[in-house]
Amino acid sequence: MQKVLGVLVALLAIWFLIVLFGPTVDAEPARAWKSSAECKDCHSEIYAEWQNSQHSKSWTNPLVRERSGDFSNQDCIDCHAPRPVFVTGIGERVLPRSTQRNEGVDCIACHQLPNHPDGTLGGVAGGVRNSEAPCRPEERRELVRPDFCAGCHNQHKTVDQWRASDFATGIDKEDCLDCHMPWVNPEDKAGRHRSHVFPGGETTTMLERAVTLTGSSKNGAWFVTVSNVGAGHSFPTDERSRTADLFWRPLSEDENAPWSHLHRIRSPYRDEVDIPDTLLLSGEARELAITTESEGAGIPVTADQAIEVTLFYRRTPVWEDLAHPADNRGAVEVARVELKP
Amino acid sequence: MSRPAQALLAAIALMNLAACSEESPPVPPLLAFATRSIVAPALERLDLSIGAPTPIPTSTEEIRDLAGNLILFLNTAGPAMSDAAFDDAKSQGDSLLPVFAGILSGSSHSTDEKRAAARLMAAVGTPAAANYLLGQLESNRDESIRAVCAWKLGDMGYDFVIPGLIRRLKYEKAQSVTPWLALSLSKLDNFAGVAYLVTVADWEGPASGSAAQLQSIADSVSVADGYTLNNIWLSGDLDGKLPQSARSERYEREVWRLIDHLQDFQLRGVDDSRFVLSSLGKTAVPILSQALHDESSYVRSHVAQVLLRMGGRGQFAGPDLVAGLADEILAPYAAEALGAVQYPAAESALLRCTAASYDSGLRVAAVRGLKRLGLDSSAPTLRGLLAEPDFPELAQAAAEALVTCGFGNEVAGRLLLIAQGAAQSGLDPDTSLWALRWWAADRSAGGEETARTLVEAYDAFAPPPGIPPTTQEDRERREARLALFDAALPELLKSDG
Repeated sequence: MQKVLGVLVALLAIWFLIVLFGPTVDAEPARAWKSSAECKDCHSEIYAEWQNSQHSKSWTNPLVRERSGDFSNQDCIDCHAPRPVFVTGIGERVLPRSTQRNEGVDCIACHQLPNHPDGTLGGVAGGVRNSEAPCRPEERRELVRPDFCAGCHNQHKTVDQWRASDFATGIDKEDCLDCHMPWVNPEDKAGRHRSHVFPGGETTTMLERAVTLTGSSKNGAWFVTVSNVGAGHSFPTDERSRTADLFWRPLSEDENAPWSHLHRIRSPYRDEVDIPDTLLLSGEARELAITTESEGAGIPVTADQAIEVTLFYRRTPVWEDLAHPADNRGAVEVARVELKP
Repeated sequence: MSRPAQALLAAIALMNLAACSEESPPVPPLLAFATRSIVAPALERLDLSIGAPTPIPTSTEEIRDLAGNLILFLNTAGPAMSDAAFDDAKSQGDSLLPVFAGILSGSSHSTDEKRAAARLMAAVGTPAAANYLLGQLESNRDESIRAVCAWKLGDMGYDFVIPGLIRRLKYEKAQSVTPWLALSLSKLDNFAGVAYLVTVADWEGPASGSAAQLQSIADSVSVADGYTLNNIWLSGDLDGKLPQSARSERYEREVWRLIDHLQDFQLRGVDDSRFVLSSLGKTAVPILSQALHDESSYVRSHVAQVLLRMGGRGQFAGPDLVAGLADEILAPYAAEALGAVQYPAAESALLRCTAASYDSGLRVAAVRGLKRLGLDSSAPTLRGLLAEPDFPELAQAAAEALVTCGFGNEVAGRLLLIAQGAAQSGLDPDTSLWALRWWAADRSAGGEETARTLVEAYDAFAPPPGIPPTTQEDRERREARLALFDAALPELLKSDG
């Protein structure tokens, strides 16, 4: 029995030494990754998700091209075609890259690791370590931390807004990934992955989840309350061109009846010195008296008439037709409430 | 760093690059690009030399009365008597400044009184007074007050206000203020405001006050008109036609402060700094050249971007930018900047950086630098890159570069194919379309009717300003432009013979 045990121990020791010092299964040298397209063969599902994301369109999106003068405003390039976050540093501001700008915020921007001090290639960061995969990912927990997104997304204080919210400090904490990179196939432990669609302001269901609209009457006048119940940051957030506007009109059968502007929710551009910052903070409920003119001007609308109130979201602050918000390009109705006597 | 030291560093970098030619694999640089702390010591040195600002005395009742009386006197006495009020303000010195600032910011005085306060503030004439005026220029909501501040800052003659005036150019929306910013900057030998004045003058017409101001600025530097002056400034004034005053230590300190802001996390400050620094004149270039060697990668890379935007005025930074090609972070930015600053001596270094042994980002950036340089001697290397099978983006960049080097006819068909096949290849179709348009416009300028018609038709597809196109509209616009070139190319190439 002792002999058998001795042989087993010896075999185990040999196996251990082979694992420790033997050649690796994959002897292919590490590669320098140039394009997200190179990730497609092995990660087709995630690649397809990313292609549908705003990250993949950060360079080609016509709205961005128009706003940046086709990137003649070079200040925009930093975040719209960044060098790898691991290279510039977690939580640090990103720097613009020279190649594959057409791919926007690509796989490499988040997953490429910096070269080692001896000049050898750094490989890629992933959710698990796998030395047999061609890209040989290293497990890097930084990928899931809000600081990782902050280099770009805290330029307009979105991460700071989250840090100050119940989402970051409450009992049931939720961070960037919980909402913007939810699990795909969460029940399948082997096959699940974080969604790379990055749903956000372009996703109507996300907008609808973020805010609620409720009405009430007080002293014979209508009030409406807009609440940020679902976003772990201000609503809207990030770029200052994003805006949410409340409108009201008498309730009628006429779908083309004009709306009256009630209130704007937006952070002004830095040169708009006379415009207040009215972003709706995470968790904030803002009650507004419904008045005949915008921003509380005019006279209160009495509660003896039926009205409807709507909230529209847009990625530009300029309305071509304020009286018919739905007809404006890119306008998304986020919430609507009918108030009846 | 002294000029000989810069030249030595550049020479070493060039030798390093020479050792890394396409034929032989690169060897580690003989001397790594050296960085060190530069911004902080420069600021410390200047703070020490300039000294702490003199504390401004607390306002007394007597000072407040005097300020009120001076304003009253200036507004009621005739223009001939104004000098007396200004002399009184000057003799009283900085103690008047907080009182005038309070009047300018408050709501209890008329606009006339506020204008008088701004003029008296300028009459105090000290650096502190200039800083107070800059503060009002930045924050006062009354555009007529901002206009007075802009005007008087030029008259005071302090060059350290130049960055503040340029920053205001970026944000100022009032047409009544912009001409004064431009005029004051020109008095201080900076012509960054002329482009803005050209815009305002075009808008208001040739008989307008802004058109007269534009002409007066041109006259002051013996240039035929404002448009010519603007072109000289934008193209870098390589012949040295425009005046360049020696700059003060206070100016230098402001420039270093802006460079320091390039390290900020928030891009707001970084964007402002990049804008202001790239609008400075040639006298700022030696400072920027030094900063290219700072230990902060943000400072190095953004200073290279600043030089790129500065264009020809930044040419004297050429040797330091060449040295920067040996720095992993700085290299791609330096490569593009070398083309933008029109430094032909960098051509051989840029050509070497296109070799397969270099980082892909640097290779593409070097080709873009060569594209900006536009030298026909770059063509053989660029032609070689057209055949890079594993790096289509580099081949595309090389084809686009060949256009500006004068060989557009060779590559026009290829560029059209690249743009047409971009959906499959993943390449950016727009850069190739722009290159084709550039080629057609160049031929149009040479008098070719087919090219002229093509460019006009191409430009007619531009989206209306201010209304972002949808993805569908964007795609249709691109396809329509591609169809234009598809139809016109045989004719254009035939006419070329």
